Amino acid sequence: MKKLLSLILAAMMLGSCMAGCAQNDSDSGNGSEGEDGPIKLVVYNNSGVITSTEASDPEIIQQVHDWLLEETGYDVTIITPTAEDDATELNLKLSGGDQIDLFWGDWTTYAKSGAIIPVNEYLDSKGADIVAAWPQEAWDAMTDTDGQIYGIPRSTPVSGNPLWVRTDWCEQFGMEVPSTIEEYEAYLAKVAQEKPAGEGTIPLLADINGKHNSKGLHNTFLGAFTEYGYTNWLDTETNEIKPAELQPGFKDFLETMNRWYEAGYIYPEFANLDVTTIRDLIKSGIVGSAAVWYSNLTLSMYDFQKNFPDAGYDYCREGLTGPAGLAETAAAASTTGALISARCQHPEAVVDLLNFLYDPDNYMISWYGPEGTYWKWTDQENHVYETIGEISGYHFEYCLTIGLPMEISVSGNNPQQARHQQYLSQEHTNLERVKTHFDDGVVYDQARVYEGCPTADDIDRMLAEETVKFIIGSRDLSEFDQFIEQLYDAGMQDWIDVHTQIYFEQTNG
Amino acid sequence: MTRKFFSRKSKGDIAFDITNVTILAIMSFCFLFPLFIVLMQSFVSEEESIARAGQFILIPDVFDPSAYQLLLTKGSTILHAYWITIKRVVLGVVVQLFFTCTMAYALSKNSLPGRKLIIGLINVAIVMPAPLVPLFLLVKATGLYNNFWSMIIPFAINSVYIFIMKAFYQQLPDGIEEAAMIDGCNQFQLFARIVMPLSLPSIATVGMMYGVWHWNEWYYSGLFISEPSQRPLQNIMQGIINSASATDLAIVAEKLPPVNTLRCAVIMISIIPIMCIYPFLQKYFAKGFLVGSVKG
Amino acid sequence: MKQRSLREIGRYKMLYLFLLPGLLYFIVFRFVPIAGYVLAFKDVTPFMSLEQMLTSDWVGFRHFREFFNSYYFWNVFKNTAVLAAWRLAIEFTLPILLALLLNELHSKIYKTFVQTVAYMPYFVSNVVLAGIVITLLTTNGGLVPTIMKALGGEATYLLTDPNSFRGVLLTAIGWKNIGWSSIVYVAAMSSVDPQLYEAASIDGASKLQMIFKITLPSIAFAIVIMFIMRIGVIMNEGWEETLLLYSEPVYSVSDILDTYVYRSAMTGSMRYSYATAVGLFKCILGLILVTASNVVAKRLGQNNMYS
Repeated sequence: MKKLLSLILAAMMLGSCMAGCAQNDSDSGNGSEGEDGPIKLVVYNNSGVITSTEASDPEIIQQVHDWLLEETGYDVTIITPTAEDDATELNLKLSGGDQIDLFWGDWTTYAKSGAIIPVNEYLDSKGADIVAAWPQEAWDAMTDTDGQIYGIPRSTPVSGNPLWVRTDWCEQFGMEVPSTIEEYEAYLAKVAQEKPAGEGTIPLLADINGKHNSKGLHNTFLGAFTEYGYTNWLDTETNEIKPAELQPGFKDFLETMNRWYEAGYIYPEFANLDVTTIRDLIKSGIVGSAAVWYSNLTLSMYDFQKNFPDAGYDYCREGLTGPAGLAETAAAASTTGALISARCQHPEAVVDLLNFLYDPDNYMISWYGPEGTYWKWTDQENHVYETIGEISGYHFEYCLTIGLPMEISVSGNNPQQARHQQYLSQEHTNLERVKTHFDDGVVYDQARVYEGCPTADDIDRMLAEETVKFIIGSRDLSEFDQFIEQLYDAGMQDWIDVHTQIYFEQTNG
Repeated sequence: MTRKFFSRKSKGDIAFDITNVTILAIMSFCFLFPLFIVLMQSFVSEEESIARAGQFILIPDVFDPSAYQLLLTKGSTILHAYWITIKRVVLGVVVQLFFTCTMAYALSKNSLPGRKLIIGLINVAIVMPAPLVPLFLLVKATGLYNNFWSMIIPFAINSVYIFIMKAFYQQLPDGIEEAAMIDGCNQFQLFARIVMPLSLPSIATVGMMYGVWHWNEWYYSGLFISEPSQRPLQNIMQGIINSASATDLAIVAEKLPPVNTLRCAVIMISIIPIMCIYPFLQKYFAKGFLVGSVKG
Repeated sequence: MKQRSLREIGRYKMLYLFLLPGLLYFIVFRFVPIAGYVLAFKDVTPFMSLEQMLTSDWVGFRHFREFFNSYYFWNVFKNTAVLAAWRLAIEFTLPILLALLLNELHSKIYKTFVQTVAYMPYFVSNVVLAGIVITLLTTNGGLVPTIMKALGGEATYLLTDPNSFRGVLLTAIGWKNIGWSSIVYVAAMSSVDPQLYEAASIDGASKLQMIFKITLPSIAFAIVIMFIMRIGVIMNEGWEETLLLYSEPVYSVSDILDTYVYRSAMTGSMRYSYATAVGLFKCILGLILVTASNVVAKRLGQNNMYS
């Protein structure tokens, strides 16, 4: 045994030495030329826009690349995420010293170890269009307590989880599109009873780990039972910031969800669904209502209506309501955005490049390829385009400015996108029908949270895991108070204290 | 080996035989049925999946091969990935057998100084797998990153298989080696001409296990090879399945068959070759797996 | 004399030459990365450069303490132990049973057929296995819920039910591995001298007696060897299948050390050092098991495979 231990230690020391030597080898060219030749920029495009891992037509890639080079003077190379696990892939590349100037991620995680740099000065000098495109709330989410902006936003508070209901089935039952929880429950009961799509009818399709962190059930319904909806809130009695799950009324929410689950309304596999399956279920016509991230509906609408020409989905435009008010909670502006690596030699160039792509004409090319190949303008002034054939040799690699502002800056005739486009430009930002986040604009620095509450991970997990168990019924709701006790045992008070501290610092000072 | 002698069959014996055959038949059915279901469901057309939504489809009414057409005509990608996987399996097994057998043979000689030490080290390696980030940095440092060989060299030896081969070598009678040495063979000739042929069953078994590992492995090849077109089959398959799911602007380039059909077709494509080959190698398993422990 | 000792040294030289490739491999690709476990005593994120990692602060046993104090420590530990125990139990009963049944067959053709079929699932990768399980279990037309309904019960989704998840996982792993694991035993049984059976039969032994007195003892050694081989590494397996099939509602019964490490390291808050510490803890457990099994093997007087 002793021998083994000393061997392990020896191996570790030997290893450290060798690794130290190896570092010299692995220092890949960190410099991007500025003296001779155009500035080279490398982007790891995990912004979510690239759909497939297949290689695009190299000619088209070359065309877009050359166009950028000509217009901006930058030689831009795109790395597409290709591994199943692109968080790991990105981290490994960064760790290994690969040249990556721009990538997407949560700035709070990367900033604390100095992996990214603030962009204030570059926005001032080169980023006018970028600044103008995003609302203040989006920028707040990317700013730290010292006013340093760490990246370009990717999202802004939006309504992303309306409750979609089958309009043709409503008609069939002689109902209107439900505007209250009660009306909705009646609809659910009818669907479960009549089974308009046969045995496999799904009254309510929900997701819980959906896109943009969408927790379908929570985002769509919680507001109907609690004052603030699915957000942190300030308990005015104790002057503390608490998580959504500690709101009065949360138990009622769970009870209702559990009741719906036991009655067979909620699709049993909701805790385990992926986007592809969700869209497939919708297209097959068996879903009576959906509490999922809106794009699952809007992007499936075309195919769905091809299969079922008389059918349709809609939601209550004024906002679904319940005993405690509006049911839907907005999706907050996230701290995920376009980040500039600390090893980037030309951050100004990066911002300049992005600014260039915040123009609808340029955006269009970066998104859909060179004009004339897969698209062309029908009304360039109003930025209306039409597609040519099917886009098959280009997978949006050079689209670096994906996000609401640019997505609605152009509009096309693509029928598959029609409903999606409409939602984005007219309905997505309608915050009147939702409850907004109580602590919008407050950024919780992960490092501080861990310092103040070392068991923060455990608590996050407990909140997520136990609520799902209550809904599914594998944990009985009579144990709800025990659950709260468990939270406090695991360190809930520390969580509350550190979040309260951060909140008041950022709202007062 | 089944017994070929005549045995008086009592009633109990007959009952036993019938039960035996039945149980094995049920087991065989259990092994095969899931694969059969997957095969059948890989032919379900979109229309049928809508018409029979929510039902369990055992045999489709219409056999729609569009999923296979789609997968196989994205053509060069899949065939190329197949080729890479085959290359990987063949070369990988050769490399691994080389490294494993040579080391195992050396370690099988009890009198070799330092033997215990090295075996101890191997034991440590078994329980301490290389953590991902250091391994990755190492792969980069040795220049193997994005290189075909990064799927083979860092995995050149599976410690457990060294012990299997070693035990096999140890149970070879010393007499053979002594006789050869007296005849003037040196160690190398001894190994190549005499020991290797004798150990063919073990080699076949270990080689088979290495081969299957290479065929199915996807996690590391996804991380060590950054060029998607250079990745083996399993990775390509996963990519195809997930390609419709990544983003708000997902424009489905072609009309995809229903998700379940596509998944089943992918499964079939990735397992059929192995299913066809391995029965031929099966006869080696039985002999080779046994490691110096059974008399006769 | 000189000649002989020269030849001996020469002989060793050759053997060292044989040893060299493997040894190099182990040093470079197994031991150098082990140095990485040092990161368990620091505080690093997975995207730091090597330099940053080596020069970052030393935090000692902080991560270990955090892990042991974590609310989920016992849960994860228990799940790992339970899964390993079940796997061992299944692996050392069903394949033996299968081998026994195969051995008693009279028809060689039938035997080969069943063997071929039984070994097939082993070649299915874990990704494919997960795909098959999901296809069979989906409430949207899967085989299992259909059967459940037909038997008069409710069609629930077994993958999100903590009561059934382990059963599903073990069944899937068993389906894949039972056939393959039985190979050793079939081989051992088939090398038993048929004359033993003849003699026993003449002495009037029944089939069951023959099984217990002749067949089973013939594989006793194989069983012991396999057990010793497996127990050291059993904790390293099962994580891929778990990772591909589990979800939040069933974490409490399925989250094992490896999946816990996986989640902590690269996702969410990316606590790479913490994850490495947990990984190191698992290595130590493995070390204990391997050493223990070696000791047991020596006690049993077995020609120790691991030494």
